[in-house]
Amino acid sequence: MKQIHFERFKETLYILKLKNGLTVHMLPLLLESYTTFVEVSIPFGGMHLAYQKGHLKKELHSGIAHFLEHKIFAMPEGDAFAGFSKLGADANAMTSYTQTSYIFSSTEQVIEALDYLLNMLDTPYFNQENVESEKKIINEELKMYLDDPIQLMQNKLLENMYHVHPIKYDIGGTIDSIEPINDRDLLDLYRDMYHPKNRLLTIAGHMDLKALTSYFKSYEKKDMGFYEKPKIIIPKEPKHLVKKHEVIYKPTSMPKMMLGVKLPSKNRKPQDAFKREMTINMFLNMLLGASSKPYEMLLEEKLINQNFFVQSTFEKGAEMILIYAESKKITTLKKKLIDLLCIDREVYLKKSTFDRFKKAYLGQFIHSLNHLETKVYLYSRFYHQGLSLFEVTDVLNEISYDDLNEVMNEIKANRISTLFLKRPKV
Amino acid sequence: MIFLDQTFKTIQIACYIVGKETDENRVYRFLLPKILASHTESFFTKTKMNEHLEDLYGAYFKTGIERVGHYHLMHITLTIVDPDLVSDPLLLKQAIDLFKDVLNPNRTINPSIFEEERRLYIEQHKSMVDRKRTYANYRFNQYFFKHDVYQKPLYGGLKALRKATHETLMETWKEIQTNDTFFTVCHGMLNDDDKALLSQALVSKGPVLNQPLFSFRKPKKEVLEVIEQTDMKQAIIKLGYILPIYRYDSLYEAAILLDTMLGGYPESELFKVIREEKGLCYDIYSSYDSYRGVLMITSGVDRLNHQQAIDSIKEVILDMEDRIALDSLIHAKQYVIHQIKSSLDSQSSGTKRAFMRRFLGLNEEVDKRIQKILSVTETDIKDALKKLTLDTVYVLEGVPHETDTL
Repeated sequence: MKQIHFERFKETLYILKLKNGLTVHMLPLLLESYTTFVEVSIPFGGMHLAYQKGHLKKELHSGIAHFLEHKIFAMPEGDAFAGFSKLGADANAMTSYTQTSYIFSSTEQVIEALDYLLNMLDTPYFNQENVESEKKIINEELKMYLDDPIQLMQNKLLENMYHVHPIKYDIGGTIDSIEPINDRDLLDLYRDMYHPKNRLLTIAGHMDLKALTSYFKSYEKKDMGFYEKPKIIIPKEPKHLVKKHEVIYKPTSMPKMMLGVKLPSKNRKPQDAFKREMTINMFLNMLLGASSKPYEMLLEEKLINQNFFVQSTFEKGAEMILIYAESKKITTLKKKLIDLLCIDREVYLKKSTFDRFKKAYLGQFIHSLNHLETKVYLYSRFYHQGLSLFEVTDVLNEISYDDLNEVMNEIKANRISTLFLKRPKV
Repeated sequence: MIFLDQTFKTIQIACYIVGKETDENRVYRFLLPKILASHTESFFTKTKMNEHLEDLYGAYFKTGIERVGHYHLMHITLTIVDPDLVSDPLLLKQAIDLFKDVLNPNRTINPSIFEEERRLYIEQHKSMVDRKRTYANYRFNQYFFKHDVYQKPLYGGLKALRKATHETLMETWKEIQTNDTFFTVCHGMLNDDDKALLSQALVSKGPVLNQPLFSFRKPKKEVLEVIEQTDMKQAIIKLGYILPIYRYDSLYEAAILLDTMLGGYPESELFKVIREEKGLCYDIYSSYDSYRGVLMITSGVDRLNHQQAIDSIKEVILDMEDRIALDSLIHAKQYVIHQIKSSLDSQSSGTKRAFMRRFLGLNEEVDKRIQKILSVTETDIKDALKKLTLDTVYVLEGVPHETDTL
């Protein structure tokens, strides 16, 4: 077992590589803790809609990764959620654009719940009946999200920004896209993506390292056969937008706007990609975060309210900034935001603000280590990107004030798409 | 002052302010915590305050209000990183000074911030109809808690927001200094010097409080059924039950377990029957409120099948007595015990728990609480179930707009 200590954050990482291919990373909290968080993550998510295996190229229905996540909980004896509950464990799962995660937290019977989790992942149990009944449940989930105007607008805006990149599709797909999915599709996908060699098991919190090591010695005897990892195919996305502007007419109490900036994307080393993500994130916060002058002015001018957010998304081949706002003067707000992003930005990017943000980001990173579930999620996310969670602060230190100028120059008016949601005209 | 020594990477300083809510002060008690934490006399705008918080390594305030029995609670919590982790020996002192300024009894409140917050909450109220779940919850409360203080939204409602003045806000802050009880909780790795510094700067004060009074009315003579419509793809259903079991009652633990078995976790009856067997929904859950003596069931269902879902939920409740088995009770106990233990690893839960124990006068240790959960019998659950009476059924029915497509 490999052991790495991070003195600054008072954390020790233990790494095991099992004979059947499973990689195990453990972050114990030895003092004063009760809970253990366990996550198995698979680097396969909602935007992976095509892959190459050997000479065979496979294309997938959008929403299938999320569908598979739901159906993994089907076990011959019934629903696996009940199995976890019987062990006093609280289980959950989630699918992001690039990753599917299965999580449980437990304070007793951790090894039993871990064994149950791995057994669930090793037991695909799909049939026509359980796949069809799941469609009804997922349809309700999709409708629930679409009743949220923010989700609805984000889906539409991404369609207006991206021509071919699968980020334009909702992670859960649509009622139409999941309709053709059958048990055979799920089993094929399971075999191609869910092999232990393609899984990371992360454990954090209270744990008995000796008992876990002993359990893994037994689990690694489970031979899972030969595995060749498929190559995910992401189509090359043109630089230009699909549509610059659109208005959706729908009953709403107040006009809403979403603005997207399509940033140029290219292949980068993991550290460089992450550095860029952090730089853009910092740029956005300096420009439109709670301590920025423009944010203060927009509030004073009553152009925005509490329902205002700025976020950045960085996935392979798709890098973007999204801004959401509700405003009575939506056209004025749009103009102000575009001017700010493309012209006036330099005024607000001061060196002193940059230094303060570096301190704040370091603090936020420490805050995230305090919360076990967040820590486990971030750990696996960085791992699948080729990074270590504890490298984050090193990357943060590398960001220079000049880097901000570089990303700033990538924001141009012709890369901005806007979407309004307004009341229908009478 | 309550000190909790527990190893976390952050330190929390929290103040809980307990008083009485009236029709006149409701909106001010709602606005105050957020406004107080948004600026001080030294950092007189939100921007200045946020800059300062960033400078304190991304420190942040969390504020909130809630009702517990006949009391009204306001809280302000400041979280900072452990100064050792950033090698900054001045950090704690700076945080204490800031917290002290926020709660300064003689402080001024920036009138423009008050006006801005008022505007933001008025807009928030007006746009509530777009946030379907929040809106359904608001409407349901209007019917379920009719003629009761809980019918009134914590923020006081649109009229109160419109009428609110800066002058009355300042007066309310002064009155709170005289009438309310202040509890301070400090949580994290603090040495004796740190504790002395905190004790010197921050105080717990105010009159000794009686136990909160928990009571709610009897169920309505006839079940109230309401259907409202909005532009939506789903229907949101809410069933309100009266469950007159309160925090200090002997059946309190049984009520928690009944809630868990009914709709509190993925092995619950509602989850199994309504979602897994009948495929009527994605989410369904029950929530028991021991301060109000109610249990509410919420689900988002296919808009065309909401009556079927409501009928199926009622059937589950009717059959519930037969569904209470030893196995399911054991699993529910394990789940609840896990929730209790894992909350001990959450700093925010620990901070609030320490205050609530002091406020409610509960001295039992966690082991004792777990013991009480373990000793609940099937008969106790059935006794709790007998007290459950349906009062209100509310449906926010989706009527999709003509331009909608999935």
